[in-house]
Amino acid sequence: MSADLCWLIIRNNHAYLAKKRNVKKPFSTEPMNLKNVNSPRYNGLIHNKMLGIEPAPGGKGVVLSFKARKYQTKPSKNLIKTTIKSGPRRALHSIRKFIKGNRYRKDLKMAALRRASAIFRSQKAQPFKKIRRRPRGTKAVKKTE
Amino acid sequence: MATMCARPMVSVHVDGAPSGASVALPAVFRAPIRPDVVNFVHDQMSKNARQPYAVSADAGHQTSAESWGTGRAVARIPRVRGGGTHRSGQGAFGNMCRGGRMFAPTKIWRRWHRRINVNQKRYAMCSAIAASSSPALVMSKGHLIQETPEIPLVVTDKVQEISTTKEAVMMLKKNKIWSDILKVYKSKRFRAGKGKMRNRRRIQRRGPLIIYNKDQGLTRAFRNIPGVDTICVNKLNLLKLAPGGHVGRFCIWTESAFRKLNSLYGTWQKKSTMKRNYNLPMPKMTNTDLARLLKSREILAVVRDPKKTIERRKVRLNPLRNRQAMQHLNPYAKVARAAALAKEQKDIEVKNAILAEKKAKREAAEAAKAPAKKKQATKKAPAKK
Repeated sequence: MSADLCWLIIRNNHAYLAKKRNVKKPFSTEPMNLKNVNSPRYNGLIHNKMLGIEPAPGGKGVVLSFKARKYQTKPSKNLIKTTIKSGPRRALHSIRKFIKGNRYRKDLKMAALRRASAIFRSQKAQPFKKIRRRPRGTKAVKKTE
Repeated sequence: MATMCARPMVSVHVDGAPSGASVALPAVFRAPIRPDVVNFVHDQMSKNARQPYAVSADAGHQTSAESWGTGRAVARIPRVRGGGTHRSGQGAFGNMCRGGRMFAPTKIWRRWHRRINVNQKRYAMCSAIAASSSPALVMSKGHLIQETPEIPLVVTDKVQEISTTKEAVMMLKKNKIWSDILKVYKSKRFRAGKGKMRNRRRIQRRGPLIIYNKDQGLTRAFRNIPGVDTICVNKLNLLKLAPGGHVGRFCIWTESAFRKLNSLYGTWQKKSTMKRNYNLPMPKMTNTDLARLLKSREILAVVRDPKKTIERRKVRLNPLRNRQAMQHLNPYAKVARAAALAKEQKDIEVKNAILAEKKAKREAAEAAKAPAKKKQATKKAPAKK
């Protein structure tokens, strides 16, 4: 079934559709959606070439998953995942090279890079903030003495 | 891309791995998918299992009430006759009265069932089967098929002989279908609303549908597994293939059931042998891939060249206020302006000259008066210096 036909069937009604109050454009929670937005371009189910970027399970790095051109009817073999453990700059570069080099969904390039940067930003170590606390209990009593 | 002619080979699976045998995809799977037809037919079909409900026929009329008429300082509603009880004199019969009959009492001869044209039913069926062969549509329905070996999933006929639930579970696990059933387990919950008190307390998600040719123990083995439905290929049911009126249920076919589909529904080349005078529906578009169409030779031949130049918004400058804009429109403006400026300068000089003359004259006149007033002249002299 072509992607266009599938989109027309599921555009208003599918398991991953998330409509929220006061939000005009519905969200979509399927795993291969780069923007989590319900739109034919970003939908992660209907195309035969799809791109997904998720945080790596270790908490460091990013997993680039894409749909192989072969095995379109074999879901178990279709999805190929590669973990990119290098730092943010290198990782973004390799994602960019992958998309450009293979001409794989060039229209998703910016969305993929932005998603990857967002993941890396969340994985950055938070600077240690010293919290100043008023001494309480016995320590407070001690201080007054 | 699903054209009417492209029909790949589907391999038969045993224990999660291809067994070596393969079947050409039956033509039904390339039938046009019409969710509108499916929805309509499903809607009508689901009304056919309804049981009538109605209020008792004489409810509210088992009194001999009569209106008291006017002149008694009461409303004119029929009132119960007699005395000696609370009920006497109370209003009766109306829908607004306590103990009266309801408005439009429900009747059992309401039209509960719907008939659907046979061709429509078959069209919906073909659409539902076709949709079940698209991984995109099955995943969109919510089935977890990320690990299943192939869609459509065809298993050996050995599955029909499974007689214990244990074996059934093993078969589901080996073919990587179990995650869909785990989802059913997780979705078990109580119904929201009054259905709870009406014997519809629990609800759960739908799981895979197993379609077999000959039941040799299969239905009993699979019936206790939540979410799993089993159905014979000769008696395919749209309510099971498109639950909720939405296409894309996860279907598992046994090999003989799969092979029967061509004789059940026909291929476009050949009529169906099991249904009288039936052949698959004709699609409005054989090639639905818009991107492919737009790049095809036939369309590119008649389409004009793409406009690649980008015309950006031009800022419009007011020539009356912007000198360069005026210059662009009227090159003489510069000359005219220069001339005007030159003239203005000249006029100023002339005016200054006249003023200077006048001043000189005035001072000369006053100087002439000066000898008459000597003190003033001496006073003026230091001022002049």
